[in-house]
Amino acid sequence: MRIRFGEPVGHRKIKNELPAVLRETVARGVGAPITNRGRVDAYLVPPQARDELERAERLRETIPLLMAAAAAGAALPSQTLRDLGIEIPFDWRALNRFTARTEVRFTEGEDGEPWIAAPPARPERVIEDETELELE
Amino acid sequence: MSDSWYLDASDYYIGRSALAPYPVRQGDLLRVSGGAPSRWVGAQIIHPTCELPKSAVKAIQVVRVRRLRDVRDDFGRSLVVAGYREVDGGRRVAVASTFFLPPWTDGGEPCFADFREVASVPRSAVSRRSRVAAITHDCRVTLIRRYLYFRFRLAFRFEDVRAWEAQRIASDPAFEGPRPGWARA
Repeated sequence: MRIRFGEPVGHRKIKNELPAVLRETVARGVGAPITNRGRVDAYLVPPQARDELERAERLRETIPLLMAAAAAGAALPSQTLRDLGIEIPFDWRALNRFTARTEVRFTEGEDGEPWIAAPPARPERVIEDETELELE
Repeated sequence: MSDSWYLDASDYYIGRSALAPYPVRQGDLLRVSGGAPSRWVGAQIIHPTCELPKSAVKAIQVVRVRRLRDVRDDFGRSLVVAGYREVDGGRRVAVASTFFLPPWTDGGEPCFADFREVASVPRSAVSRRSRVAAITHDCRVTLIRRYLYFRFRLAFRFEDVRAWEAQRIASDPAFEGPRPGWARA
């Protein structure tokens, strides 16, 4: 996660120069502590920081899974492990054993669509007619 | 409950010594002679089980079984074995067109079914004699679940697919062979 912060900006400057402060925050991609009488009481952050925060939240949920995979020697395909330079030799047996025994919750389908599992099944008996068509 | 796709390799197949009472079913693996599938490593039956005994069914739908080593690199192989990946902190379904198959013989090699390569084979090609492995009932649940996602992009939990399958088995007067513990008569 890379949210950088620049110089503090006082309340007075925010009040008097808000458009310029916002322009600079967006242009530089750098957040700014908002201070009042020398104390930080808020942060102004560029739009991309929100993506970083959401990613950090997702990672917080995923890190235990990745750590467990690394400990088990299971080469779980992971962007984060690769970014960290952690390479686990591929061993299909270790990976299969790990994925079969380790709880995981999907967040996305294959194309990045949200993973929404169907409501719990309430199966009912179905009587099927066995008539076959006579095809030419 | 977990969203994980696959069972442990030890839970995939009916042992050879216990195979006799199990009829050929969806998910079982075949060695096919004749036609394009004869050049495949094997084929997995994707045709519905209840259709297999019907005389009106002249051809059985199968999908291609490929060797895991046909995948070019270890990253691709890991996608097949796991069936999901981590991207940007999220857990994302991966290579949904595949179904991982551990070795079904001692000394065999891991493979996978490719749902994109479908063929119809004569029903005479599908028999106990041509069957090289029979999957367990639990494994069939994982196959149905994965296939539902690939074919219709419908996401179901393992427990729910199993509940549907249990009801289907309980309602099937023609069901043959040992029943899974979770599907009473």
